Amino acid sequence: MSAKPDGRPAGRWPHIQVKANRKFCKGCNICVLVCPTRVFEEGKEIGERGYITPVIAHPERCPNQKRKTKKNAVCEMCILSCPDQALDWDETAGAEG
Amino acid sequence: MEFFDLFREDRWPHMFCPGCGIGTVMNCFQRAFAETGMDQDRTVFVSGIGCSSRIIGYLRADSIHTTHGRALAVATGIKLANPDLNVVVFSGDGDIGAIGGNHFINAARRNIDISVFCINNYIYGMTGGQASTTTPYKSYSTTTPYGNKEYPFDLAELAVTAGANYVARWTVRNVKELMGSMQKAMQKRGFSFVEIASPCPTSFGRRNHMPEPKQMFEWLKIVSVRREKSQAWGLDQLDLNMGGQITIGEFVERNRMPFGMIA
Amino acid sequence: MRLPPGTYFMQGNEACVEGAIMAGLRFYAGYPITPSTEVAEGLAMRMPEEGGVFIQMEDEMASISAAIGASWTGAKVMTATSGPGFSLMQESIGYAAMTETPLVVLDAMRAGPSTGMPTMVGQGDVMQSRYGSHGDYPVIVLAASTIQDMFDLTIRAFNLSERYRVPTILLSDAEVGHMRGKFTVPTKVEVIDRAVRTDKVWHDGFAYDESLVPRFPVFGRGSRVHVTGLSHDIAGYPTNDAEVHEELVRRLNDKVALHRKDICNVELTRPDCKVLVVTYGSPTFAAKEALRSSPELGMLELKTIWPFPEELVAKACSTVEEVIVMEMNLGQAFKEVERVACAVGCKRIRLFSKLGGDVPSPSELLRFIGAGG
Repeated sequence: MSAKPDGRPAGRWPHIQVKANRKFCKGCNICVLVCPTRVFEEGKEIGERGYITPVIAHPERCPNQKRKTKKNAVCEMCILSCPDQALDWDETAGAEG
Repeated sequence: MEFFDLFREDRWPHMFCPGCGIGTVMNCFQRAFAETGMDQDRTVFVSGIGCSSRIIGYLRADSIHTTHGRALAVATGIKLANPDLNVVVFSGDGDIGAIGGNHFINAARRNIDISVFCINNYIYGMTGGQASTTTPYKSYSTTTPYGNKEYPFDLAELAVTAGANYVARWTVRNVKELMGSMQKAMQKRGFSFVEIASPCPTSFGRRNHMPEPKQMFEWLKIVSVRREKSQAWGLDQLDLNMGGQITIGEFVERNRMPFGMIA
Repeated sequence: MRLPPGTYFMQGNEACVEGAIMAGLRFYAGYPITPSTEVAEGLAMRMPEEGGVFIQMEDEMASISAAIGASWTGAKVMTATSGPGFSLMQESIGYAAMTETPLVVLDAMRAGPSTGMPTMVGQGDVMQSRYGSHGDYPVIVLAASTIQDMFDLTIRAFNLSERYRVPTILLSDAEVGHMRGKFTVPTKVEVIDRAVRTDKVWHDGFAYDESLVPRFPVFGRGSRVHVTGLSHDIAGYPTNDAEVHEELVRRLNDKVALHRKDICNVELTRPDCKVLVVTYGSPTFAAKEALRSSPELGMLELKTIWPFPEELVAKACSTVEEVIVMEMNLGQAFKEVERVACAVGCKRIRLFSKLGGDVPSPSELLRFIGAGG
């Protein structure tokens, strides 16, 4: 199974997960800064818009491990802080990449 | 309510720079607006000129992007002519604190029932980085290449003194408190003013040793001091401002009669 | 309550107040300035009686900005000022023209420049009323010469502004505004309201038909229209596209040019005269009196100053030997009259320019005409 396009590792996750929209991301890396559990890491590759976009390197560290819907999310720092609205919840819990 | 129920998805990606705090303000605003339950079709957004004033062009609502500094005067006219409308103003530090200063203090004096969100990035960003009336003492800008020799305004304190019913200041690092204050501001009767300290890496950060968005976001966290703490430490507000500290918190919450309302 | 039909004796500014109320004024924001203050004071009394809103704002820029905001809620709006305040309002007049906001501004002219003589007559704002703001923008300017004009032309200013969505300026002066006299309210007064858009304007808030006037999307009815002073497309979204900008600016100006016949208006007395006196405002009294004693004189009263009533003025000037333009400035309308009259072959065009703040007397005018220049 291959990694998801926004850098998340492949696999099924039984809870909500943050996903990135590379069309909006401008590589400011604020998500890397504000995440309390260091889910994000600065990227190395230039994305389709010419920015070096960060990657969702460690989604398993996200505090929302047991949340099934975004209404119950305990931490949304990355989504709330992202200046480009590039982050959102992937509620298709368990969806394949 | 989803983000793009309130915002115009056909205009994304938006025009703001990488790491601009305005994007964060939009996220918080959408959540706050959803919480108030206000009717999107009975809400009018008003703004002046500047980067912050461009937000309203991205909103799915009646909006009017006016001349520099006059947003509060236009908002006053709208609210008085049709008091059933909710009027929300998005503006910046130059629009409110410089050219619009007179309209700002008078609108607060009248205590007109509108909500004002002043996104203070301490610079004139849209035009390339000139000094603003809130640019910190000794900071660099294109019109203060030797360091700013002037002292900045404390816009939140101005609003308090002029008579606003609700005044708060937060930075874009305080997303939860900011959402709460924006919601409170819109629900409270009378003049509500929320100042949002926001990073401008392109114009301010770049000239003041903080070119990366992360650096300016981090700076905001470091220099902000809770009002209750600063008072406990006996620090003078204005000195804090000049020294580059930003006092955050809710400044005032009172119930002066709003303008135009019958008792 | 609007004035019932009949004859009334009032001050010019008071007649303007009643005219505005007759036209359906709902919102007035103003700042006091001599000699227009009576309009604000009158409306402070009358607006609450009519269920409208009066507010005195902190300066002229705030006044016109508040009026513009109120106009977008569907209300008919007005502000009144004089020369110095008019200069302050120019940016917003351009904004109203760009966003096609119906708005009426009364400019009670006084002797200038600068602070000048606040209680004395001047007519120095003629050019400013047309070109005071920046860029190529449309504006309609009417000139009141009598108390009856202060009533009638205020209503006409509202009608034109609402119909064409163009800021309309009514020029009066210190004398016309402050003198007291008779005027009549007819049994039937024509009042025109803006054509309102009732559907959602998702991507075409500023779409137009052959009249070049978009229908007006009122705030608060779910239109979700974005209004901006930036160059915009028909959705109202800001754009830097060259073609869109050109189309927008040309349409805004063509809007007025296309409807010139409806907008332009003059009053010609004794068209078969030898010497035609072209004038407007309080100097018309001198001309009227002079006409009584001199049968070879005629008078052309400019009721509309901008767009300049070229065809009407040209027709009047083509049959006379001499044209005298009488105004209390150094020759502002004169430039336009001269241009038009020369084009139709009139041989003599002279300017009787009187400064000093005192309205010219009939004998002064006759002396000037007799002197032959």
